[in-house]
Amino acid sequence: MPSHAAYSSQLANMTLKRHSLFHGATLFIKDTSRRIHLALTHAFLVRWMVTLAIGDVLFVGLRTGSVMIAPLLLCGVARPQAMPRDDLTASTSRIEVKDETGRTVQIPQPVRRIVSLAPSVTETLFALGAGDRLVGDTDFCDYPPEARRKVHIGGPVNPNIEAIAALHPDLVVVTREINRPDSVHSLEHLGMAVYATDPQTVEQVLTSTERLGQLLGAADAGRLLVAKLRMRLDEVERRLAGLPAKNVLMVVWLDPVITVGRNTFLDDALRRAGARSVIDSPQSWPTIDLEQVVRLQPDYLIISNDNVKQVQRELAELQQRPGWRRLGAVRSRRFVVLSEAISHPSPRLVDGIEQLARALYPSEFGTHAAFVGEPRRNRWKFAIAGIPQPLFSFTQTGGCP
Amino acid sequence: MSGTESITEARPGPSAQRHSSHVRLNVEQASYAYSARKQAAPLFTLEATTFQAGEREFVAILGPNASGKSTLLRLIAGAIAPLSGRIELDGFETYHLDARTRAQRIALVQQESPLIFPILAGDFVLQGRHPHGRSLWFEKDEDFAIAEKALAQVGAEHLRDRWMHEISGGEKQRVVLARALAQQPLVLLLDEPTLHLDIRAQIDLLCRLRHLADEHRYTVIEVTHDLGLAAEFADQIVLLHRGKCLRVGTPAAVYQRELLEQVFEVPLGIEAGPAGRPRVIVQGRREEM
Amino acid sequence: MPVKRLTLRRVLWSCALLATVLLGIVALALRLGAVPFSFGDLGQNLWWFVSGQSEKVSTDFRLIMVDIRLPRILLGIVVGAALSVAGAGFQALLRNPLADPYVLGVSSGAALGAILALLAAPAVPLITPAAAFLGAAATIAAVYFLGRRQGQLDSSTLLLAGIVTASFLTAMIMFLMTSLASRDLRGISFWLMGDLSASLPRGLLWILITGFFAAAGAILTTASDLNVLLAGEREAMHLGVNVTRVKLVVYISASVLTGLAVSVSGAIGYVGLLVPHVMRMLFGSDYRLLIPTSALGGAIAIVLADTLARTLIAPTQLPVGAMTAMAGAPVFIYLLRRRLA
Repeated sequence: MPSHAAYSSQLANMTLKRHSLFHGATLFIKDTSRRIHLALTHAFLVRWMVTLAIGDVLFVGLRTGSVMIAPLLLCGVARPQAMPRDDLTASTSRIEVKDETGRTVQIPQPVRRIVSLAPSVTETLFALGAGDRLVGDTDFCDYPPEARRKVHIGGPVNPNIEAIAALHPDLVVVTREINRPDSVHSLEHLGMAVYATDPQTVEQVLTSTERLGQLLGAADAGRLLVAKLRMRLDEVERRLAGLPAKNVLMVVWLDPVITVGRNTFLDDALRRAGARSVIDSPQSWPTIDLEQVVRLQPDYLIISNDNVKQVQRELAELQQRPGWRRLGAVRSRRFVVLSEAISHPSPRLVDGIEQLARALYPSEFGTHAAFVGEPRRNRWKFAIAGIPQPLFSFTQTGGCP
Repeated sequence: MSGTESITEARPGPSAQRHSSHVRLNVEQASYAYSARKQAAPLFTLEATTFQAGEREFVAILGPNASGKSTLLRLIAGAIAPLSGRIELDGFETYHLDARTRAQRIALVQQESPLIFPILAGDFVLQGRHPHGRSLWFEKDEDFAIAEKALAQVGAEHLRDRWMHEISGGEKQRVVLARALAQQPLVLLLDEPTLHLDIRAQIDLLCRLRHLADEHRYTVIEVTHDLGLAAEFADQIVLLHRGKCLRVGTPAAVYQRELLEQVFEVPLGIEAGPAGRPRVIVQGRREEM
Repeated sequence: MPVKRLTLRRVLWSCALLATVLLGIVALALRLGAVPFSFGDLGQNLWWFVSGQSEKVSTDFRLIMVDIRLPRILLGIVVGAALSVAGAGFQALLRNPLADPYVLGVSSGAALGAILALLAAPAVPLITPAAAFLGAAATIAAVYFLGRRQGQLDSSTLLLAGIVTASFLTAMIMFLMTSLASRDLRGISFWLMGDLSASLPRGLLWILITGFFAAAGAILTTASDLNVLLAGEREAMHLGVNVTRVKLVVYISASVLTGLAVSVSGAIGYVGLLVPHVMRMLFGSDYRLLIPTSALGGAIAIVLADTLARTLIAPTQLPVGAMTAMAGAPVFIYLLRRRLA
């Protein structure tokens, strides 16, 4: 049994905070050596459903320590997440905007209390300087570290409507990528303003961030932030100008092989970093055959993951597998392990792009091998078996470029 | 076909005039054909059959396997409609009665389907009162009394609080008969009731049926292939052979050696028994006839 | 005299007992949640409501209790009752103790309807329940026509037809989910596992309640017929039961109940299967008593499971279906062993 540390960090990574890993059709449990072996592992739908559900269940299973509780115990279980306030926030005025999915939303001004239902939104809010106005976020919001201390309202897929309502938010921010329309309808039905973001390219991430800044009355901060980000992106582009793109395969899941398709922000981020995915699929997260990958022979394998040891173990294992050995990238250990940053449609995406560009073109950036990211602490909160790796921020390039 | 003998013809028997002249059940030229699909050739045909039965009469429908006995019984019970002819109970065609009314007049005892959920024998018998209730009804005291009496009539009061899946075959048969009696029918139909019983249980059952017919004015119609017992207990025999009704009449009239040998295809001997009832003697192994 | 005689009084007393238990569980459910209230709070606010002093009720209380918790509990009651009655009905119709409301494919049809709705128009509110119910209705019709034999519903043919349809629809669902991989299908799994957290408009709740009483009432009128039907179809016919009509009524009513429940809450498992059996063990197999007690028992089970699901590891919510399985199975095993001993 691997240590709880490993698993806790795995679980943190595995779940919903990862846009790349969290996809309706993909599997959460990413661990080649210690999966949760379900009886019906080959029943795709059941596996997905159960992992999605069990992922959450197991998630905090050890934290509570027991599942069946006598009714008496119930009386002590409820933990107040917020003191009920008897006065509603007197909203002075409301502006009507169209959110990024085309819905019309009436947002009270000024926005003093915000609830975020996605980790990327949390990151964006903090980056805009609105972190102090954030009153609630999901269980999986862990960047920046202050986000973990906010009141939690459940997961992105199954938010606790009551807990959100108890926080009396002026605005709830969701994303189309992770959150459910049902949750949005429920919240609207209770009279809360819900704004949905839906960035599908890197550029849209920037404009979305700027727009969010305007809505929150932090227009200047937003402009400044986006300007800086654009500068960094332009710099990367400048350095990579004229160079041919490298063929890569972004591996979201190993078994079956799931990668990114076009029209996702991840694919766009790859392009900006001078990489090109060998797979061109209209699906967002296509499942592909190993045979196909071998045929296409990508130059690099890109994995966005955080647990150094876990990834190293996994990649070492990969070399033993007959199918994977046929890949040149595996044989010569041309892996790039990125931090989570690249898989979030938030300002940190630019960090990820820079990281990838540096890893793929070290000579252009004057660096080689590992460069500084923030080493992540393992997450103890979530302790259960067979979960993908927690965060890791080292770029590891093995062998020859 | 052999002629139908009038039921009012005097017969040898211990008691005088056992039945009134009132005809309760009238089967007139009833026929039926069964085919797997429509417009296909019929797999089996029951040709026009005629007989009558009144109260206090015990009729045995006799014949080898696949002679149409069960089909005739189902026609009488009103489960299927005759292709031609009529089956009337007190003047009403049985098929056209609605299920509830029919169940108040005709009770059928047949091989039971297996029970899914456990049930007490007492409750099982109580189900016989269902035709007399309405929807959304609860049993009244008199229903319980009738069910109790039915159990007494078959000698199974001691089984009342036992589970149906725990009692023996013979006892189960009696409880099923009690349920039929709880329906308080006019006609009691039985489909091979003595099939799985030992000789003692067989005689016991037939004696009870006889008693029910005599004392309580039921019309009992039994389907059987047991020659000996049919001759012993029945007032009237309907002899079927491959869908054809060959003869209807008293046991003495029907049990003719050549006829029976033709129908059952084994060598038999017939001799007169006490009270004018014929006795069948099995002649040993079959030889070339 | 048979030992357990069923009278109207016994039915009413049993229902009263279960209703009391249900009220207790409801009170507990109202008290617990992300924002806790004490029983004193509850009582006081209830008194204010009743005595016409509703302006004294705090907005928070109103928002949490009246707008969120109470509808959810009511939804749980209706869904639990509907699934249990449907399960009891199917067990009689199919003459199979293992039958549950989903065996004839109604839930798969509803799920497919919901998925198609999410693909086509995810932004329209309430499209999911509406499309799910349409899917359920289509499945009911399809299985009916497939399950007929010589013009009437035949138990074994119906069962086979239902299982085949369910498998086919599930395969279609899997195909859609993997080939389309649309972002809007995210979260469908939570719905497929059973989820009571959707906040529905009052009108929908009233439709549900009306539909429940209509369908459950229809099954109740056939209750004494069902008792006899369990002895065998031929026997039932000869005991005065209009078998064709009864089977049709039970099939449509039970399927409608299932469709209603699944459309709003997803496929919550085990309730329809276990609750009728538990009630049988406690109250006997007579359907005149089993239908009402199953309804109340199902309501109790779902409200209890839902309360556990949303408070156990708050604020994370567990799927209700997982709780019903985890809670139901041990209870069932206990009762089973006690009966055998």
